[in-house]
Amino acid sequence: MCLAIPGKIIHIEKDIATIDYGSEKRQAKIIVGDFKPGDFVIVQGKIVIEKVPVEQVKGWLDVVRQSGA
Amino acid sequence: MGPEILFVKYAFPCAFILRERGEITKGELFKLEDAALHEKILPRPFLEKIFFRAFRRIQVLAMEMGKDKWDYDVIRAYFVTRHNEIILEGMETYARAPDSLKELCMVHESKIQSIRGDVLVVKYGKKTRPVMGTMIPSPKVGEKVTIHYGYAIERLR
Repeated sequence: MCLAIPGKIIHIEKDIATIDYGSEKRQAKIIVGDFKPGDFVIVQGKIVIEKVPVEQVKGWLDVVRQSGA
Repeated sequence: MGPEILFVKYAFPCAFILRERGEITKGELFKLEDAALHEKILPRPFLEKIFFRAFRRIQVLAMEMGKDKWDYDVIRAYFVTRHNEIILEGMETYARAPDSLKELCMVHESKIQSIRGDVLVVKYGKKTRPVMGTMIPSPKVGEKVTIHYGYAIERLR
């Protein structure tokens, strides 16, 4: 389950994005929004819900992988 | 809908983060998801153990409201109001959280713009975002729903 962290879009075919999480790859559907390979995104329930600006990716990893919530 | 179901619907989108940290098992995540999507009541001690941080804050809110922590109104007030205030003030973990994470963690009141199968495209403020609509029975365009992370949680009247 890598859905809690941003993954990088490596390929888009029609409305299906292939997303790389380092340890694994997953596919998710793009519903609305302008996405391109190289974008970091958050996926939940098999849909791409949000783009994460590249400068915020490290912040996500820091928060998600440490204590809190 | 009882308070256990209301709680699990609002809380389970966050459980993916707990799974990523290894705080809960795959089985526990599945149990939470199943309870949220199919309105199943989970034991209170189970929920209080997994979401101990939330319950620490719910306990405080319950005292302020003069009600029990499992009171429906307390659980609802926590997710619709208090939880957002904690995020906006940047308390606890949220001090280090990037804006895009805070945005998804907050509960927003939104309006359904269009429906594509199980997915609702909703609008709040100037933002449009897709969310899973599986927790909203027969949604209609124009209706208002609360959203949390990638899910629509509750229909608003």
